Amino acid sequence: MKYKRDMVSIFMCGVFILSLLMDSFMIVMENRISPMQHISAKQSLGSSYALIWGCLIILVLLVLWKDKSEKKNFITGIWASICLGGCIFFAGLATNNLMVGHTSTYRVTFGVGIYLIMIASYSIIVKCNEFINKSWKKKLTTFLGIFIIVFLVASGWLNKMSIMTEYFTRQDKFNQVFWEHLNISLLVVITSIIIGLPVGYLCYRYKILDMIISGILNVVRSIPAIALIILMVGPLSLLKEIPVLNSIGISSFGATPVFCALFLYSIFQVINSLRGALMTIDRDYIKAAKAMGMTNIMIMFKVQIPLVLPVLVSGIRVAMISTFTGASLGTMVGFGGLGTFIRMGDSSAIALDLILLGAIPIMIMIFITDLVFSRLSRWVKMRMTGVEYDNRYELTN
Amino acid sequence: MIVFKDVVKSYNGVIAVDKLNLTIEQGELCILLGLSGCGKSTSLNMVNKLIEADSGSIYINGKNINEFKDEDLRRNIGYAVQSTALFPHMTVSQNISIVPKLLKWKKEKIQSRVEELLELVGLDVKSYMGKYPNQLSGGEAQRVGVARALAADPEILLMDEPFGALDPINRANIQNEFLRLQEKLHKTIIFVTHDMGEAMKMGDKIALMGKGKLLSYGTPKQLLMEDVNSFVKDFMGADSYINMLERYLVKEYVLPDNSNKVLPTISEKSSLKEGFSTMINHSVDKLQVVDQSGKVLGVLRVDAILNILNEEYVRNEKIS
Repeated sequence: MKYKRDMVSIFMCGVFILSLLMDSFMIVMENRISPMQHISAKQSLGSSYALIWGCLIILVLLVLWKDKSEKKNFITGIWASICLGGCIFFAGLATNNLMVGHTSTYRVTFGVGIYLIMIASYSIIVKCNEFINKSWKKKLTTFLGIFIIVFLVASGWLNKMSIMTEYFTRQDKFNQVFWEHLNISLLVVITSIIIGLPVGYLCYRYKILDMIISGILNVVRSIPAIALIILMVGPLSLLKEIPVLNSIGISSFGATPVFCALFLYSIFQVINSLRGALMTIDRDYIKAAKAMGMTNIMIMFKVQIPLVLPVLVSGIRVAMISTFTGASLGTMVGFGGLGTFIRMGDSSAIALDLILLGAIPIMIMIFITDLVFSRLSRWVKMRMTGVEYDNRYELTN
Repeated sequence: MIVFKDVVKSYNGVIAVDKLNLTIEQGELCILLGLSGCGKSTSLNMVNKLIEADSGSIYINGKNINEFKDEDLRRNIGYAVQSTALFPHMTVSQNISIVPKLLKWKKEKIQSRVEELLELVGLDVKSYMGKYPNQLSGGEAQRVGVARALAADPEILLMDEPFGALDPINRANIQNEFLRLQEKLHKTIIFVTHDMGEAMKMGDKIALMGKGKLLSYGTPKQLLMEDVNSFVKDFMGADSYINMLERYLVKEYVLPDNSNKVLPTISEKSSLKEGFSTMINHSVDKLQVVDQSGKVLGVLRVDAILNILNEEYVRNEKIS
């Protein structure tokens, strides 16, 4: 089959070129709320301008040179990954240049150009990965750039950027809300698993219970998250009058309504996936297990649970991710969490950095959860069927 | 010995099993034969109490099955189904060891039993022990299913169309192997099928069922000759005589080769039925019989086959 030129990668190189020529490589502001000024790459990089052009030219040559072979695509992918990390490096360089002679209130942040370069590089990595079969190679191309970025951030290379400035000035608050967010998310998911698993199993056994619980949860699930949290405030403000409940900390705002709403969403996921998975187990297995003389409890532990485990892991993954996201809505009712930063940045004077400071940690947590649970789900499937899923056949998410 | 006494089972007013009275002797392979919905699977499942009879009783070796605890009863009866129902999350060895583990056998005993059974069903022990069911082909899975049913060495085996899902070649092979196994083990087996040929080939006795009732019961030859009712005759069909030929092996009817003509060949291990078909296919009245290595052993003549059919007919005329 004749190799069709990878037009996407070529287009992305074009995007890269555009971002080096356009006006908005970096953005500067006198202080946090003054209007943005766009600075081009040439201006911000000064003497390093030629260097970034060098990287781009190598990338263009590699993209034009590569064909279907795994090796060529691997090399191109690695270089694109280095460009991905590299553009953050150049951003840091640019920041240092631009901050010269200005006070600490001067803000420098990414401009459109930087984002375009990141998108372009990542797209090229993805396209190259299509031609690569070995999974370790794919992982290397994807994660090399990310490693470079993480290393740069951790070593303080970007410390002069506005987003890092915001972080350092608010470090204590950031830590506080981060732990609040993480804690409530984990608490919600763990309690919903502990309660949801037995309830899910009972829903499978007893139809009446199934109808009641599914009925309630389906209604609850259709209510948007914010609305549900606010809805919780009403009944909780009545409940908090009861002295017993008050003493253990139940109140009508803060953590309680958030917990209740997120708990309902999460437990729906757990019950639904358990119940659904149990129902799809082939009846023949249960029949054979019975015919061999297993008691009901043995059947549950030896046959049903192992067979539903993959689906269950997947359901818990969804519950975790939606809880992480939902917790950020807690600011509406006075709960902290990373939503605080998002809200701060969303006031009349939009401060993108604060919004990012709130959103990026959530994205990282979700990414890590997805990674961990995908691994877990694959490991469980391998234990169950003895087959290691070939990457080509596995659907992500 | 298994005895059904006036067993009745109905679902929502529809009678599935209608006053079944049946006796299966020790060491016999009894086939429950009939169309879909005639009550044969239901009857089978009542023996190990997967289905409870509405009225009537079932006795195993003189004891009513209700006197046993459900689990104890089932752990001493082997069960094999069409879909094999091998647990996908357990290896072949773990699947086979299920009932022995329930009976609390010692680890070494279970291990040696698994190896013994895999050899018995014709699977290489080392390579199949650790395989998962989804790595097995249809025939291999069925063999493991049979091994699993035999694991605790039960006296009774219940089999619900176990070879139905296999292609004709595999089915024929596994049927032959199973018959050889039964000759060694002499289990009391209830075997459900809707395949006439299978019934004729495998059964010591055939119980023909229709609409929940037992229509006929006897040896395959008896059933062929019986004049009970038109349903039986229609069900048996004209080719049942041909199917009977499956019980005879070519190698017992080989004659020395006189001519030097080029003839189509047939393996000595095939049945006379295949021999007959091959002769018809090639429009010949003789076949060359070869053994596994291809060595010519002699010829098979069509008269041998016709004689057998005639013998059977005459002999059975005297019985009926």
